[in-house]
Amino acid sequence: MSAYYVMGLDIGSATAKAVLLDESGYSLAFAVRPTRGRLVQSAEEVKQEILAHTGVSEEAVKAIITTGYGRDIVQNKTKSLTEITCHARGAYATMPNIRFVIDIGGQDSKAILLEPDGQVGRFEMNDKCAAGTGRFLEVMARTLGIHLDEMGDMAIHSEKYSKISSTCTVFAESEVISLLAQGEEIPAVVSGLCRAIAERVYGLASRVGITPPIMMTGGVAKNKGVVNWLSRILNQEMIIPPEPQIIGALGAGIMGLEMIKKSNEKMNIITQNT
Amino acid sequence: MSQRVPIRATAKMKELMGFYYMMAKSAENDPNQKIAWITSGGPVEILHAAGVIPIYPENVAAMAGTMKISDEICAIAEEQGFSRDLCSYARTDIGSALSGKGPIMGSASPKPDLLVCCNNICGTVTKWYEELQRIFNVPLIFIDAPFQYGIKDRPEAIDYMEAQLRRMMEQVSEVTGKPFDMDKFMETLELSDRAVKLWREIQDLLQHKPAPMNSFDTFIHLAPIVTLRGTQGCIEYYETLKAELLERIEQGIGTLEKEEYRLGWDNLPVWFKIKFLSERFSQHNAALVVSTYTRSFCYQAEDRDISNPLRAMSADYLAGYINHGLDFRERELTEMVRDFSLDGFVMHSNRSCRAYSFGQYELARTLEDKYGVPVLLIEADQNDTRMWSDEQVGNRIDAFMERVASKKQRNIA
Amino acid sequence: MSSNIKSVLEPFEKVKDDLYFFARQAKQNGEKVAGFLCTYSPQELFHAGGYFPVRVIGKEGGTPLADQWLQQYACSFAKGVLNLGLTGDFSFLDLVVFSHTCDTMQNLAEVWRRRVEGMPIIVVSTPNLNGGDIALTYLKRELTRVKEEVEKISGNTITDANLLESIRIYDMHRNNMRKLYEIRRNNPSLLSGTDMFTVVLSSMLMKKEEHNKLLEVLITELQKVPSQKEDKPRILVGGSVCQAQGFIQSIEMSGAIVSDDDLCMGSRSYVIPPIPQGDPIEMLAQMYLSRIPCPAFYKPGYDPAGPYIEKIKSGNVNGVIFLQTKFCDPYGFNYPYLRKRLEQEGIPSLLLEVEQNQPVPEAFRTRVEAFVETLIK
Repeated sequence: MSAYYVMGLDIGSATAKAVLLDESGYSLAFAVRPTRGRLVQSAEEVKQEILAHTGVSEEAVKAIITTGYGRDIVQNKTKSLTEITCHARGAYATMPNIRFVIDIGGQDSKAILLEPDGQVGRFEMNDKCAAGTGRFLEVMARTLGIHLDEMGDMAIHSEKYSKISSTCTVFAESEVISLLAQGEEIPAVVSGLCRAIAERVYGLASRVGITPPIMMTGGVAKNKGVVNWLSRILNQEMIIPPEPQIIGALGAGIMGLEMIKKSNEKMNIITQNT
Repeated sequence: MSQRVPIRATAKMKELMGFYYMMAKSAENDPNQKIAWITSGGPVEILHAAGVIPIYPENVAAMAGTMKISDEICAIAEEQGFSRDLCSYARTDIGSALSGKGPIMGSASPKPDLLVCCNNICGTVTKWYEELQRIFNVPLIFIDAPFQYGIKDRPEAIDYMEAQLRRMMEQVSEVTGKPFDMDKFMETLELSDRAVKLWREIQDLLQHKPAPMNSFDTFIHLAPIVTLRGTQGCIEYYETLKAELLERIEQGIGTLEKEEYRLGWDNLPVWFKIKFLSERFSQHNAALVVSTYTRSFCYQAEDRDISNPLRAMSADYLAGYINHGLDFRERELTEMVRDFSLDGFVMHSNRSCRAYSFGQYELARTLEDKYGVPVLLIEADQNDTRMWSDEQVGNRIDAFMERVASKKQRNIA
Repeated sequence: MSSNIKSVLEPFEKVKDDLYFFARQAKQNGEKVAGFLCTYSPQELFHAGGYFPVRVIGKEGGTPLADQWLQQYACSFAKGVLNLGLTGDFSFLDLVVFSHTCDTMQNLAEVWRRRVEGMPIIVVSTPNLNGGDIALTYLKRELTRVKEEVEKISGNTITDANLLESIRIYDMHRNNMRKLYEIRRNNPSLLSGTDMFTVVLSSMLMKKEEHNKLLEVLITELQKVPSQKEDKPRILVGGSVCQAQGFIQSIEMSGAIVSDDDLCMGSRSYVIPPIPQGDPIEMLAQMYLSRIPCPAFYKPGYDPAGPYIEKIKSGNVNGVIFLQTKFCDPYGFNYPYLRKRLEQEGIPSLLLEVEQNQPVPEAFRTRVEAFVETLIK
């Protein structure tokens, strides 16, 4: 039985994620829920879900570190940190030799260079536009009348891919419609869309300076089509952690654990001195 | 330090600028008082010497930006077919010229009798002033300051500038109907020279820790050097400001409760978000202490011939930061990092300003890879609020400061 | 179109499949090739210095490598060529020549110099003040400096005689191109706009000596054809597009004929008034300052609507289509004024924003078709 626990909460635009760690840093459980625009509520739900699931009491949670777009809205948090810091920390904890993180979330994508000791180096985020994000795929899935989850498999099984030149969501949508009008097969279009995202993310990553090994995190890492295209375009293997969506929450939890340990050290120094 | 101590001179500056704009506005109805619109990097000393009142459309556009009326004025230009991709200063100014709407006592700048355009800040002004000429149908003096690709400025370019400035004197005297007063001109050059040196000294005072004011202040205190250089009032104002800053240094007064991090700023300010940015960086105990933008108004040529003031002036008007290629810019940036003890650089990738912004990715990479300086790029616009998102920019600043902080902690440890 | 003309056009068409077909051929023969990014580069100087000057042009497709160095709001021309520079597609060039025009080209030259490896670059500091003795003096000094730089890089001395000969060849070429434009102005159906732009494109990618020969044959053949009555609406294409071909073709597929243009990679660069024979550097400087100015430049007293109205009247043009490259400032600032002037003249116009590295979008076709429908009476 752990003396205390730490929770990492990642409140993103599409989903809320929670990870619970014990004092040794062992991850006890995680939970993911869609936010649907209700940030505060979903943060509370995901927190309660994980507590109920593990049977850990709220009082035993010594620190709650929040991250993601909704990080400042969450009440009773110990501290909030940006996704950049948390994704880097989470990725490093999962695999200490990781030098580069590509995170494609619902509303943004980022590329982060990690120093060899796991600290954040240079990073970039997409500009004010949905291109190269999960949102782009979501809109396109709707246009094509297919389910978002089908897209990955569809893309990797298609030998052909359509050339989608616009990464602007609005223009790409009309491009997709005219491709279909010209008789393009849906899987080829899907593969083309995955390629368009990968190209866009490549631009972001190359500005940071691509340095393997590369880990991919965020919901879109589950889309095999995008992953496949990214590794082709970057000419690098993409390492996908078992649960790519929760890496930010995991990183937040670890940052919390480190904070507690640091303040304990300080306490020890003070007690020794007195 | 616990309380933020405001800079007293600010009130004096507001008075000075208010007086200047009032005078300019009242001159509009005086047929004997000529008014010229001029670019911020333009050779204004010739105008002062000839008794012509200079108006700076860029300054007026920035005022519209801080007053948050630029969007609606831009929309007027956009209705006329000016694309939203064009410079937001130009759109603000053209919209203002077309509609009479503007930030000066509720209206546009007083109408010009003359236009003076110098392209040492960008090529956009060439097009912008051409349009102003079509709107007002007054003479346009165009001064072509060749972009200097190398670190050392080319002598043929200085000769070219000198010939153009000589011709400008003739053109100005055609407008005023009076012969050009060479003695008055030499006096004006000296006043301008002193103001420029003072402005540089003031900015260099920010090397002190804690910095007695920050870049968000210098953005505001920039107005006199842009609009009034070459006048006695400008010198007096900066002497007051300098004395106050020296006093602040002596008393250890900074601008933050605790100045932990020092940053540089590149490119124009985001005029409509000065407060947001200032607060966001303050939350991280970060002070912006130097900017390439405010320093642009104190460049003097490296080997200027002071025995020949017109020649020195010709060289000075080529010598600015953005009239130079990337090798020059790299040198300037790294000197700022060194002299101002910077922990990082913030670069405003300014959609309106291709001259300033293209090359930033290259410089950012060079600062990071060659010099180990963390760089944050903020994608925004100087005057167009539609390119902005508080959420996104705030998030980037937070992440960047987390990075700067952890880097600094590691370096200490 | 007669079969004669068809066969005359064949050699021009080689560049459609491979832009640098002739450049590579020359390289194989051990010649040196210089790439230039702008029609303001004094090609005559490079020609006289022993180079085969070809235009640097991008191609269709994304620009992921260039996106590292240029922001999203950089024009597609700059990004397109930088991308090919970075992929090594231009490694066959012995020299790359930039000219100072707009802010984007200025900084592109800088990024290129620092990031594209494998060849030297020269930047010509073209004065942005066009006209007057002051600018002329500056340009003469600049061209002299460039000449010396070319000599240093190439190891060849450029004599006055060499340079005068190069000027003669280029002059002849401009004359021939002007003649061709004149023929089409009176009788556009003799040669479609699409074919015309193949000729224009090839003019920047073939040796001028060869191109002159082909042009002379083409002109002779066209002069033999009796003039025909043409009822298609005549369109003048203006704006800032460098690779206009696909767009021209799309416009002509909608039932109009592109009978004239006001494009830099089109008629603008061929209009130079005759310059008296003299010192070749002086001649070059005069020529470049007396051109229809690049919109990035200031020319005292020049009216950008002038060439439009003149061509519209002399060539019975029915409408104008502006092909504006997104993020092109110099043309963007001219547009509102041009639109107004055309309105005053009763000439309908259509503005289309284009990206040069993308295929002609569906929406483009729809808008062009609708515009052409309004012109058919």
